Amino acid sequence: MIFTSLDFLLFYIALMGLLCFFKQNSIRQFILLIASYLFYGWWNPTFVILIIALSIIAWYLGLLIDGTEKEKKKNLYLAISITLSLGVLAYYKYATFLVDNIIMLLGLKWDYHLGITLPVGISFFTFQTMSYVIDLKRRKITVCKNLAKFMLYVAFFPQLVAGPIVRASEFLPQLSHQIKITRFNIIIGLQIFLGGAIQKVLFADNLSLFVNPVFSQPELFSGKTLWLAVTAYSLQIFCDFSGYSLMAIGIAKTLGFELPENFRMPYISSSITEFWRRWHITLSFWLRDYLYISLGGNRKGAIRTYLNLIITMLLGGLWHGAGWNFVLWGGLHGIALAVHKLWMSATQRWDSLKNVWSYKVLSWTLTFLFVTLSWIPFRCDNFQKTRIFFSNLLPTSTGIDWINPYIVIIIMIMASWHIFYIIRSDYLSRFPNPKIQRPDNAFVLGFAVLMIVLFAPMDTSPFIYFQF
Amino acid sequence: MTKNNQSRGNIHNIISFTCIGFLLFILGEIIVRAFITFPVSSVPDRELGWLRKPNSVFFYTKEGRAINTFNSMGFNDDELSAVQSKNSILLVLGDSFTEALQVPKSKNFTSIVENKANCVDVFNGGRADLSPIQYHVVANRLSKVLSPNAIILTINYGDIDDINSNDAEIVRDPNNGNIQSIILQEKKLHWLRIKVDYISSKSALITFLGRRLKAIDLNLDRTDSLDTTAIISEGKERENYYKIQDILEYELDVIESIAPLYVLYIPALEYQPNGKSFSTIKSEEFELMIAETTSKKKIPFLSVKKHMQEIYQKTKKPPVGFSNNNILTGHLNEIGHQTVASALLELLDIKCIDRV
Repeated sequence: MIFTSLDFLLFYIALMGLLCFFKQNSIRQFILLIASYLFYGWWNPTFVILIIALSIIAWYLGLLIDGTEKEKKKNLYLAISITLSLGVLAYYKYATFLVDNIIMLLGLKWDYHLGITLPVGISFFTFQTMSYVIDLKRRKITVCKNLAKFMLYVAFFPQLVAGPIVRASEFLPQLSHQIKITRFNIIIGLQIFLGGAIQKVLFADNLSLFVNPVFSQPELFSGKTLWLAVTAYSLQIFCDFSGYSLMAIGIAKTLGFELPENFRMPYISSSITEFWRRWHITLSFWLRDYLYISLGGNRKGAIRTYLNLIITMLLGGLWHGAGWNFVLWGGLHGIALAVHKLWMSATQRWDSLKNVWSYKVLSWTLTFLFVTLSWIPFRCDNFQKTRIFFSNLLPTSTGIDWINPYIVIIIMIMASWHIFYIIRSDYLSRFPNPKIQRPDNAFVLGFAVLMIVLFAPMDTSPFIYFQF
Repeated sequence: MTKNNQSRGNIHNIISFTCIGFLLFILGEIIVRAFITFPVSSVPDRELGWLRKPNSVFFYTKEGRAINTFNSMGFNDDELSAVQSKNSILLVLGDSFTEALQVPKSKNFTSIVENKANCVDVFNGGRADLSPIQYHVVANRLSKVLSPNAIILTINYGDIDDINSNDAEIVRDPNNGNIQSIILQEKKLHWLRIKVDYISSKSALITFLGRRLKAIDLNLDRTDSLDTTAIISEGKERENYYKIQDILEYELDVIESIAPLYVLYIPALEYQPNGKSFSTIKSEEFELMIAETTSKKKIPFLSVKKHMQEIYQKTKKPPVGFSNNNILTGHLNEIGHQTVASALLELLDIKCIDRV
């Protein structure tokens, strides 16, 4: 069930009712666990077994890692855990892709398609279980001996299907304290949730009404239309994913839990490195800590550093989906990161130049342009469409002109919001602390709800990151 | 003392929130009137479900953006009657494609035909959501006022689903199975509609919210009329095919008994690069069905498919769709209306002196 549905509202009300009724912490945690499985099982009950099994295995192997002093055994248990997690991920997510590619490479004329159903959120919860065992092995966290708590960490419903990817070190300590359902948390959580709902329902869903027809037939439209569509998609994917993350963070807050921030205005970035510190923060930090550093990070010389960056981003692209277009997207970002690193080391002496406003504007423009254009292979179904899209971006291309005025308005609103953020980030850092009891805040929130009711499209599109 | 402060605080909160609620309602009302719609402009009707409120103004923003005024009969046209008019009267029947609230009145195809052929008065008898199964009711009612010299029945690709999903009572001759009459029944919860319309007529915001709620309900069982893979004349849909054809024949017979009848068909096209376009399979089949039926009854028929394809080839702009919704599908835009007007003039072959 999605956060903006009636089903979820009823589920949430029932859950809050139970949590308010039962005060004992262990019972509250148990209720949350059952509710999380119910939430996940709403989509497909069969896969609840999968998430339970993965949780139990990761927890048990964690106990084994903690229970032995021998490095070899620790490494063995770690290897088993990672192999199992990646194996499950590979099977559900990549087996069909692998088989299709083998058939194509061998030139076989088989009309065979594996057709394995992808469990929602598998990319997220497998990464969470892996981060637990790896951190345990690295002695960054202490073992969780309580199976129920561990299962709740993996299955906690606000972040289960589309993140943020939560580390055990961030979440498990919160389970040692009493789950507090307080008025303050509920108010702040609802404000954060509403902020996410506005991004998703008001902006992302409206942008999708324009983006989807254009991306499905890019050959039909003029260059102007395609530029507008790709800009709209950049904003759509940001609002969609950031909106979902905010809703997850908001719901968790109402339940007394803190989830990590996942987006920090990525489109104000003036470099690709900065972009990845602001975009899908939990994933990028996960890739940095568990993949990039494991590959050697920047400790093995410049060439190896660039290679590690590219490999990390290639795999990061593949994480998003079983498709060469995602690999291409990841590869582009990996190369861009490597190029930026090279540029930074080559221009170390030019720090004063980098403070000049024209340099900053140029850096921002290049970064935004690169990020926006790299969304094209990410969004297009296949390479053919990607090629058509890029070729039609040229000013010489002809086609149907479609400048949707509502899309232009949304882009202007988003641009203004970003500019305001840059200018007044100190002011904004004071949010979200205002209390809803103040009439002006109640008015602002009421106005936000009114805008959603008036301008949200009738058919809301599914969250983009659900497919990952 | 503390209890007094607390209750005073509660009262203060209640008053504050009530004021905020009222303020938001007013703000919502202003925003809806400025950007979305005016208060409901319909009155309940037993046979047709509802009619446009006579002499009301309609602000349409879902596709395009236009303000239109309905006449005293509740149609999107100027006042007209057989008594007033010195010219021949053409009555055009249809649904939202004919009513054309997406464009200003002067730019819809009935107005364009009227302006170009100064010896005829064209009356726009279209109304959104009308099904072809209801056209005979509209024809009967309007013919009493207009005494039309001819009737143009505009059918579009979406009407096949409207005919298919009707809930009218069809009375057949037990001997030969031919349709004897179609009785349009009062819709369920008609009484509720009367009450809701009364409340909605006072507020644009309530009108809009009512439409949203209605759209949620409609979305649950509405089938996609642009199914390009559906073949209606084969397999399990064959029964439906003949049922639809029967109803069509009945409608044509009834309307033709009022005045000479012409049929115009607006297809669904899929647009391709380089100015090419083609009909969807379902639209093509429906067109063939109508052509066959009208040919059998010797009723002049014209599909505007070729005209729409030619205009797209020439201008590279689809004759349907609007930039604020979807440019490839939807109702006729201004180019589309000009195209249909040209086709209609060709069908009617009106020879008038051109206006100076």
